[in-house]
Amino acid sequence: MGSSNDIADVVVIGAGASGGAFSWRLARAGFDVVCLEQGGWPDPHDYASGRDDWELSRLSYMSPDPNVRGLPQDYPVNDDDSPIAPLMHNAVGGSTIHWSAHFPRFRPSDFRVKSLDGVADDFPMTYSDLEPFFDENDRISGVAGMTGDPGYPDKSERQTRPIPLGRAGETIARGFDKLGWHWWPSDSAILTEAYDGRAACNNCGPCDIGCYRKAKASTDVTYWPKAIAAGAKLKTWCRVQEITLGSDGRADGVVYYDEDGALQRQKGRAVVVACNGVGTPRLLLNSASGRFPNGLANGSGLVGKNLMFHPYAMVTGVFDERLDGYKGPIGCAILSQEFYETDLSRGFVRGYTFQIARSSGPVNTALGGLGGHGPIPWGAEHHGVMRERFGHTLTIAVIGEDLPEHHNAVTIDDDLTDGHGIPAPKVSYTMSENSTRMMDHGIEKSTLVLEAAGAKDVLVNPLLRPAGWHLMGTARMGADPETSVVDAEGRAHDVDNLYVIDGSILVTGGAVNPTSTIQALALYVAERFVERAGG
Amino acid sequence: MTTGETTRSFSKEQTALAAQVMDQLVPARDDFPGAGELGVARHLDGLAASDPALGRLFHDGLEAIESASRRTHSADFADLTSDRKDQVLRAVETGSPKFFAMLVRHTYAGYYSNPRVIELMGLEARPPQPLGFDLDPFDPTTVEHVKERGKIWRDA
Repeated sequence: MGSSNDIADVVVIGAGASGGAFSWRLARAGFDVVCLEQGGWPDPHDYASGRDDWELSRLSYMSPDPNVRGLPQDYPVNDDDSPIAPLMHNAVGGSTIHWSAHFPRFRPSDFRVKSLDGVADDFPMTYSDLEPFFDENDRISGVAGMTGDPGYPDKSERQTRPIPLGRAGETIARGFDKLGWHWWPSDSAILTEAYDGRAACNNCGPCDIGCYRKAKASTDVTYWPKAIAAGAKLKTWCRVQEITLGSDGRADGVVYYDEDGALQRQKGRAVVVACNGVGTPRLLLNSASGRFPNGLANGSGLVGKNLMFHPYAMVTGVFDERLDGYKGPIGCAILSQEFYETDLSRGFVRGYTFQIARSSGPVNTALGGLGGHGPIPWGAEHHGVMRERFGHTLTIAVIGEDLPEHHNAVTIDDDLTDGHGIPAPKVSYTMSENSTRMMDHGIEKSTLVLEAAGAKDVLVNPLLRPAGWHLMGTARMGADPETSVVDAEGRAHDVDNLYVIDGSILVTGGAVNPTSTIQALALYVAERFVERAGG
Repeated sequence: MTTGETTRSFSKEQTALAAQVMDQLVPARDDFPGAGELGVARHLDGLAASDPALGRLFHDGLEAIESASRRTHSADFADLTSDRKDQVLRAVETGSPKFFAMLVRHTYAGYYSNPRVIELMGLEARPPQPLGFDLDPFDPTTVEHVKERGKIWRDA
């Protein structure tokens, strides 16, 4: 095994949303940071959005589903026991490469669901505690949006003006207005004006296959250049096999496969896991040892438990008029949080967000559109249905709060391994009764708003399968070592120099896309780390 | 990334059968060519050549179509009327759902990524980048009334 004598102050595993933010903060404070990433550097000009066959890339090497891509840097996930397929991307930037960059924050109530609604648990901090970190993350990312949203406490000035509505956004906004329901231009981590050396979005459409112009805030173009300039070392094509412990029971580094497939050691004074809500429990469980036979830092037995995805119901309106939804960022226009807060008379606790998605190209339309409504009919009807749909739809994504349940879990699969022979994860997930009732409500209300907006036909997908964008809860934070994996500062209860900073630490999932909250938490953990070190 | 269109997996007969089938899935209509006529079978062939499991699925599936045709109509698929071709395909759709779903998926993908079809749909046959699209900037006055409604979040 190769080994460097250099002992890093901090070894970060994973160069995605949280790993990028954390590495930047620590490097800026003068710490010697080494980050290991199993994928490579993307080249934005190589993204398929610049090629004629761009839509085919979604079906193969740019699919968000690692089981479809099957690239060497990917690991397979056994998702046979889950109605929702986990999605992720492995590269510098992680899943921010494929995300739609819809960037709402958790709302204040999301941090206090136990106190307010008697369900799950509270976060060990409040919205106010995180606010400076939300703001800092917004400044680094560059957020399009507008202050004044009655759905949130006042926010700092957004970096650029909101994303254009386009005809799809204007049309659905009219529906919300007709019903008197809340809507607002979404905070989006996409620049509408040049900012910090990056170009403005030119509304090309498919943010999900990588942003050609660096207008979307994937961390390969936001945090990483800054982190590296501040001295962080980023080693690509390095896949960590396990985290190792010294004789004192503290983490002393990691063992990883380098680009040539040789096993190497990287020593560190602290180890920080940022591998997402599936990859993180996989690594901790794979790092079992004599001292931790059930997985590293798993004294609580909760590593891998409480997996939350956010169930997505997709409701698509078909309109007579042209909406041209293939123009403009695919997942960013407006949102509505009319049904976000708990109202028990609806038959469920907590609530959901409507995220308005536009539409995409002809291939995507023919295969069922963003709502996953199944291929349009073949045969004599084919062209007629295609003509009705293409450019004439918009889709409401109902994002429901997904409360933590022990039986929703990431475990290690008995047989499956990645290309290095490292055991791969298995996810098991069941929709709860509360989530099912919530989705039913969301479908009914989406249908109303689409009809108010003038839709002539409404297509319903009650549960989108390729919707596991949000991987959360599998190493949750809390004060009590019996009921949480890491403490309020992201530090494992069982190993005081081991940290988790990705979506795994979320106590509950909110009812919004979680990345801005995950990154704010990573910066919060970084700040506490620096303070403790007297930095 | 290649879809493997330079390598071949299908025999001449299989390519011809695939084209016949595709012309039923996406038939010619008005100015639009049928998917078989457009040459989408070559796209399928390329995929079959680059992925052995998919190749087996397609070989077996095409065989199932031909044998269903001979069994139920005592004729080659190519010689059936359009209605009978559809009948055979509906039977195979039910009997070999995995094959049929992949056949439809890749037929649509090959057809709707073809520049000729894209132009027939009234679009420019160009990728989204580098040109992008022009959209009017957001008009802040459109949400004044939403703001006036007041706070809808809960203190916590």
